[in-house]
Amino acid sequence: MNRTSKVTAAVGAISMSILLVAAGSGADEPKAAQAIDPEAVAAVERMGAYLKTLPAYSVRAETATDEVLIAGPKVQYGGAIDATYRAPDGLWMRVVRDERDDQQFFYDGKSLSLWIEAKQSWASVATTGTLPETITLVESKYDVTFPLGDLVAGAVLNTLLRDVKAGIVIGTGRVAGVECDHLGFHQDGADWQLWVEKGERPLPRKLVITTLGEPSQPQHSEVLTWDLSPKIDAATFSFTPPAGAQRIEIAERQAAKAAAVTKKAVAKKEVK
Amino acid sequence: MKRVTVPLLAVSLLALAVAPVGADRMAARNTTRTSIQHNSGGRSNVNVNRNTNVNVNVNNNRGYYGGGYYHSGPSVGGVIAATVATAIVVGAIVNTLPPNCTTLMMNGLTYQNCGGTYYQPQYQGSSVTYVVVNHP
Repeated sequence: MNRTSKVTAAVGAISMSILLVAAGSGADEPKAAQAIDPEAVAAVERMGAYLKTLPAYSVRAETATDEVLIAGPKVQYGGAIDATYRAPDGLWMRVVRDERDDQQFFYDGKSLSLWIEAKQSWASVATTGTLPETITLVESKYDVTFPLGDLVAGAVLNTLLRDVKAGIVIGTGRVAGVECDHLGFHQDGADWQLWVEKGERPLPRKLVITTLGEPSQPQHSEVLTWDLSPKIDAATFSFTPPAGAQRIEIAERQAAKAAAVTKKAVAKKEVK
Repeated sequence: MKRVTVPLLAVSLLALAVAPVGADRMAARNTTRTSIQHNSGGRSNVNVNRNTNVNVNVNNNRGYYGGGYYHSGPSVGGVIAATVATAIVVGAIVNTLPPNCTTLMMNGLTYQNCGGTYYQPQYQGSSVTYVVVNHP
């Protein structure tokens, strides 16, 4: 790396959000909406529409997640997510990350189950609906950040750009040798970049999220490998707890809990 | 740019290296976003804690009591970290159980009785934590 590109890279990292905001704010176009390049929006929508057409897929995500330790330094943890999906409501997923217990998720259209083998613990919530609907529900009710939730739910439901304030097409990038549209977005608290495969299969190939609230700007990245004709059998999406395993509950988000209690109280009053 | 960054990193790793023995030096602040749409932000207590002190975290935006930990760095966003365990409050959440617990099954759910304090395991955020409950 020569000196010039080093400097450019450093400046890029610092001023991503400034760059993004500047992209659409010409002197004569003060409206915030114009800060989002329509081509960047189109690329995200193309990806969502394509994902929606897939009857089934397997995807592997290699992840790298920075964490800021309480003692000060920023360190990086590695991980991997393996997922198999069949439309509209079948999912199996294994999530592996350094310093955490491996987790498996099963969804069969009737209940979403979680299995943590290391702790011989499982949880299950009854829920129906398509997979994207279920993921959205789980995230809002239980405050669980569902692995790959942005791509397997957000993209399909067309909500990925919900909070975006600025967006640009950065250019052409390569992920594992595949040419992609490299997109950059800014929203409150985060910058994120997405690489969408060019051509017939506009699949997400890479995602990087930069947390802006932390001075050291930790990042989370996912590099995705797709298999559009996965092997699926009858047992893929169903979970049977092993003998002796303990059942646990999933903690509800406090706000959701409070709202439910209030709702009940109001309902009681109305009955009276 | 790099010349500035490297010494800073060295200093902060040094701080880690000299943190008191017994402290959970690898405790993460869990502030890194891993989702575009879902921000659980500042989940300061999940998956961070390998000792068993319990204290009260007044700055958790989800209204939980937090698992205790030592830290040698500056106080984080108003988190109060007590170094001495006192009473264990119902609703307190820890990431690791104290030693010598017995398992108790009630209504299909599992509880742990650890010296008369009852803990209920739960899945919270992205890992298993234990919440202190009244006798089930």
